Amino acid sequence: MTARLGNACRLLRTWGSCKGLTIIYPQSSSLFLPCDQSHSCTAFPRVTPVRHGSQFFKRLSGVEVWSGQTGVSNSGKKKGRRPTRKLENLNYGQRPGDGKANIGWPGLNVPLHDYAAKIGPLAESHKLPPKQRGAQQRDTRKKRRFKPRLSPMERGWTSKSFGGRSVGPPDPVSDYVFEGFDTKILEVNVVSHMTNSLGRKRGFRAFVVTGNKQGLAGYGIGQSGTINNAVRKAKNIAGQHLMYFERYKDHTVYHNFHTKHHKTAVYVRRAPQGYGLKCHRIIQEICKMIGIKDIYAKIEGRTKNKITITTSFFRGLQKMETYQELADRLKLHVVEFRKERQYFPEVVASPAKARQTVGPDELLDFETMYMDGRVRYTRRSVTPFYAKFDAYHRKKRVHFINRNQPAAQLARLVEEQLGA
Amino acid sequence: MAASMKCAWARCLSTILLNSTKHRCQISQPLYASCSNITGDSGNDEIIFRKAEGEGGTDQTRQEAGPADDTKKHRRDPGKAFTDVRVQKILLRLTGLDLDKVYEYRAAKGAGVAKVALMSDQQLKKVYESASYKALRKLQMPPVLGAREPIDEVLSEDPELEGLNTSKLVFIDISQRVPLKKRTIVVREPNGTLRKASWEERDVTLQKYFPQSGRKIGLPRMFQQDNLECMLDDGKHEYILNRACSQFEIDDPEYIRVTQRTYEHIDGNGKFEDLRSTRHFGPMIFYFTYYKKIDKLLVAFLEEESLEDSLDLVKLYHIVHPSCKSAEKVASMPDATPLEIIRAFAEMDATQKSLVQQAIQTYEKECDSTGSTQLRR
Repeated sequence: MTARLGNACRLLRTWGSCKGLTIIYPQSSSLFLPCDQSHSCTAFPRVTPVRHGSQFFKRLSGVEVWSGQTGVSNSGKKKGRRPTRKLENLNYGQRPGDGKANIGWPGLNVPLHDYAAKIGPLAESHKLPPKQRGAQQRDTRKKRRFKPRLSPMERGWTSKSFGGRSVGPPDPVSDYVFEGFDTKILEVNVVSHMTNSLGRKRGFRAFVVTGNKQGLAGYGIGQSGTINNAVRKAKNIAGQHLMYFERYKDHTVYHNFHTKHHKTAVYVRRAPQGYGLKCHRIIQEICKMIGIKDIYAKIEGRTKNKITITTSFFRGLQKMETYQELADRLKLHVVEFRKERQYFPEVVASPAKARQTVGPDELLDFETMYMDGRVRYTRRSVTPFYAKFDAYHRKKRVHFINRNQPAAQLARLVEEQLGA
Repeated sequence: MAASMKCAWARCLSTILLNSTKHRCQISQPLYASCSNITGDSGNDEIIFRKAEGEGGTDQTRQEAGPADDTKKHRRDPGKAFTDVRVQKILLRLTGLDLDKVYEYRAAKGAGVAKVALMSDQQLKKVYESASYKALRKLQMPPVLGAREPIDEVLSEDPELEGLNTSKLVFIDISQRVPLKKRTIVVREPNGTLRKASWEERDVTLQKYFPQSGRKIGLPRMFQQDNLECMLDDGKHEYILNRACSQFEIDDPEYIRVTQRTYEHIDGNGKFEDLRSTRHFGPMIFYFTYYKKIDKLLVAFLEEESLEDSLDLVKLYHIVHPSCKSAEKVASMPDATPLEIIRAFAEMDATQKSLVQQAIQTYEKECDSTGSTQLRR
């Protein structure tokens, strides 16, 4: 303490005057007087007596002091308590050696090899930019919690949900690279189990589907403490359980089918090109991974269990028969009648040797043969409530008189323009 | 198996139709029902199988149009020659029946998914049969007729009505169950004359009151000379001919102009095969034959190495022009081989003699190299 004080005095002498410098001394110190009388200082440091001694401040380090605010007891940890404050670096944004006087101290705020230079004030530009209040909090928050904003193409079904998000192909296995594969997350759930030491332990479960859009697809479930790890595990498991599905003209299924798994039933209908994926978003993602572009699917029963929906749909696809398989099984020609070909009989599959005749009781309706005897329910067309009002019929009559006028007017306009 | 069955059926069917008398009655009625009003007798369904001379052709309004470059005095209505049984048979045979072309893929609104059926061999045969009959209906040829003679008949002169109207008044009989061709359409001029409507006025008025789908009032821009040339250069021959059929009456001078221009363009580019197995192939062949322009066509058939088609074409020429030199010569040699008949034609009646003779020579060389001079299908 004495040595320190002596040094300070020496320094003070060198400076000349330095106003406003407060040195706090412990009361118990014998060196109450700031310095001995051997020198004269133009300015004396102000002395403020303080109650508590040096030991009070020296007893604990800064981090230990902070732990009073940031720490959580063992029992608190079990209950999932979190600290009320975060450890703050009170010297955040400051450099040792910087001060109001802006003096350069070699080894601190000025390079060490400049020690020979005269210790003196520095230029204004040497000062660090002042940190705003709360800058530390914001900076730490940024580093920890900052997630880059997802573009609409990267987003899942909603801005926040993991479902519908793409996570790339499964990791390569020895020399096989999953070329052309993409994976979509179908669900991320928070799961927990009880442990003997920590009590409730939380984890994440990810359910994903992967596929190469050329008929290969598979689904997998993975669990881990973090979402990313869970997704990764699920992706790789899906990559190990791939199935191949034939598609009709690479855009839809071969026939309508119905499957049930546990409490979830799925009715699937084939669709023409351009129809789109008119189904639950889960089935949409699966179809995109397989490469099916047009389909209608209706889920009946439990619609919330995504795993059973997926299992049900995959099962149905596995049981699906291609035209050639059907022809070989029944020994009949599979013939298509299309409006685009004026309903010309187009043989799409033939068995090696076809039958000559068909039995009288044989049920060969292609639309219903895979539906287990189920028939599609179509609602009777309902007359709208406004059909009973006179005003509606009056309006209809007026509209009927001018029924072709918009098109005819447009045609006349076109003719006029072309003529001109 | 199915593909070969399809071809076999098509061939079978065409021979059945051409040779059997039983099927004649079944086919002629639906095929030519719409032709009934051409000659004016609505009840005659056996038009296709009338004989060349004498019967039928009683309509006096038919203009007897001869070949464009015919120097002979003898003029015939191409319609008469077209409806000859022998001519029809040859044209049908030349057209062929390619089911894949007749039923080719066309965009259809509201198509949906295809209907799928499971069929045994027998059921498939039946279905092919009905498809082939349907195809024959699709191959019904639009008749080739001479241009209609203008209508010029005044019903009454009423000068006292002059000045009553500033525009013409057109009257049409809209009673039910009257054939379009027979509907009375008259025009009252501003000067008071009451006359029968001209063909153009008739077409416009009938389209107004009895609209036919696919038909526009007035000439569509597509058929204007410049636009037509553009379309022809794009190769849309079939489309132009189909639209002409739906837009015009077959005896309309515009129809004749459009179709003849299309045939000439095809002839210029040698794209005869575009119309093969369509309903326009027969009329096109007939046009070239009637106007004595079959040289390029004959060369095309010979290059394809189809001797049957070449022979058919020459035979057709002899039927349509029985007084030509080669016809008389061929009549004098009853045991002539196909090549001899074609050679006779080339020597005597071909306008581009060297071209045809060279084609015959090339054909003979090819035949010798493959070692066969038999008729090939």
